[in-house]
Amino acid sequence: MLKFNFFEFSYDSVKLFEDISLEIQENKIGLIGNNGVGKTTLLNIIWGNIKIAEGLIEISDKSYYSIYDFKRYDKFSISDFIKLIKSLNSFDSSKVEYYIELLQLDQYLDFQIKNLSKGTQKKLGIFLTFLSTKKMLLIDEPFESIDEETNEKIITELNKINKKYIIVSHDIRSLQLVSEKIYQIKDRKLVAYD
Amino acid sequence: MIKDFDLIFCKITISRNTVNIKKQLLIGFLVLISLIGLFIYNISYAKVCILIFLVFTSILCLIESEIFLEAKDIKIFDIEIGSIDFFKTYISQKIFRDNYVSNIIIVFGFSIFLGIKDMHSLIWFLCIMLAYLIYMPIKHIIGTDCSNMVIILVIIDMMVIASLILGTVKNFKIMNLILLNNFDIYKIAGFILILTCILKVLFTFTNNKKIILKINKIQGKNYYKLISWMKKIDIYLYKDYLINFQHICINIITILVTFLIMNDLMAFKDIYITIIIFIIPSGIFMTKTKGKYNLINDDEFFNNANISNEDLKYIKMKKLQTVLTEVLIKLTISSIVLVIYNDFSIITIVEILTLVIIISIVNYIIILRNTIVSLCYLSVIKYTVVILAVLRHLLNINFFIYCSYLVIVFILSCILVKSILEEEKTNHEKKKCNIK
Repeated sequence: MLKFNFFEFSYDSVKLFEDISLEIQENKIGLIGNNGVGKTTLLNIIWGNIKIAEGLIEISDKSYYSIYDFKRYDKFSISDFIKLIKSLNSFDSSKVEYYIELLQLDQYLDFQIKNLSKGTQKKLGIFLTFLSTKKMLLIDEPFESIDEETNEKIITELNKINKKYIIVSHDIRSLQLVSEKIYQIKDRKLVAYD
Repeated sequence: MIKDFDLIFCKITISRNTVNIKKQLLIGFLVLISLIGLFIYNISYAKVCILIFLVFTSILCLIESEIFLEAKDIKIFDIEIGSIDFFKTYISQKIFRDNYVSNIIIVFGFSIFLGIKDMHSLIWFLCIMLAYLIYMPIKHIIGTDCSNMVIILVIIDMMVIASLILGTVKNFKIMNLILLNNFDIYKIAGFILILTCILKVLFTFTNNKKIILKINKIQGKNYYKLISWMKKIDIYLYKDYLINFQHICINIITILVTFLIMNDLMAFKDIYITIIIFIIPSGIFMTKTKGKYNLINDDEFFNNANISNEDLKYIKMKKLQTVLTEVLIKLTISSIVLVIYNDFSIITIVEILTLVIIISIVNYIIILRNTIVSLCYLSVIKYTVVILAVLRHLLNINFFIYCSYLVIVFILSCILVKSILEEEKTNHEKKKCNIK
């Protein structure tokens, strides 16, 4: 799924990744690491949002990066969002009802996004991620702020879907349930987590 | 409060505020020279401008911004609101998070000038500056703790501005506010109304600047309903209007204010020329933040690598549709003006419509092709259309040449729009990473 060749990356002169050469063949992987080691940065690099100067990353497919920040759209309702994405091929609108039910968003359809709780806004982000037609998903902290019942459903769904994904999380138990292999960012290297 | 907090706080604020010294020096000296020039030309007029500026900037203390700290931020340091420490902290962050280099040049430079020229005015100026500094935190405290007082506060500010204008009315030449007949009183009322509208827009329709005041938050909740009818026409049009509503309102108000002021100043015999110069080339969706057009940049969910090239083309089409709605807005404004000035005719409206359509398409291209080179040649195209339209009316240039140029610009714009719609997004993934 991913191949790093002499990959290096620095942020504000602080080296986050150093001389990484690694091939990841698993399709469903988890990524852990302490705060600030560069987990989200790595997702952004894979997504293409951050340029790299050193090395090369080979990526098998184009990816969808989960977005949870709807600040600009806070006056929209979830229904408005559904209407918008229904005209786009980047989202599979045939599964809208299924995921609305799965993530228990049905009662909030006409709420303005700014009036939704942090957890429900996150569910909206996960809802859009599941609907993406991209073959690879980059999901940052999907289990944080979400109730346990929905988290179980998300885990089941992640195991079910036929997509590649990289999930960043601090919740190792949940990660183990959804990942073929977990990687860890440690000492500026990407290593397999035991 | 810890010992030397003020000093440490000021030092950190200064060191964290990235300052473009050259730019600030330039702005500082330009404003200082303008202010001195204005003072030499007319003392009362200069004083009115200073006071209006200070009243307006003090109103900004009621608005939550991304630049300045608020009461809740200062509370983090366990500083009690309303205490002397609060006043000191609030004032110092307001000074040092702002363009303090320019401001220092203006205040000190102008004080030295006044000290040489007119000692009474210097005392007046220093008193006003001191009152302004004390007034800012007071206003912020009222905005934070006594939200029901805010409307009264804004009305008082408006009355101050109105009385300033009326008090120096004989010197206020730009607005031509000489109280000779009833019509001038209407002009003053109109001016105050426009100022109130700008404030209302600032207070109510905000995206990244939120209002601190609860009373305005309640009013602000309902504005999206005003345009909810657009959903039935097109959900993407609704999206663009909702995200950019504040900018659209401010741009329309700016167009109207500029038109009214310039119409007074330039006193063209033909109102149509003023319309061509000040209404037609304006861009209702052309607001920029940090060099990027908000119409595209604020719509971040629908403008990133998550969206396929095919969908991006569709979204660009929808943006074109949104930009073209400014044709309707400008046409309506122009028609109202023409009716008021008794100059309305079908031929004029058809000509305005043609010009506005061409300019709107060019505006759309500028928004999408946001590079300096594109901006230069597109601006040349845009303003040659305007100049030619003005010349046609002033010098009666050949109608065939005029129409031919419009047709050429229209065809060229359509070709550019087509190429923009068909260009694939810069595949940054491909640039930096290999995708098999």
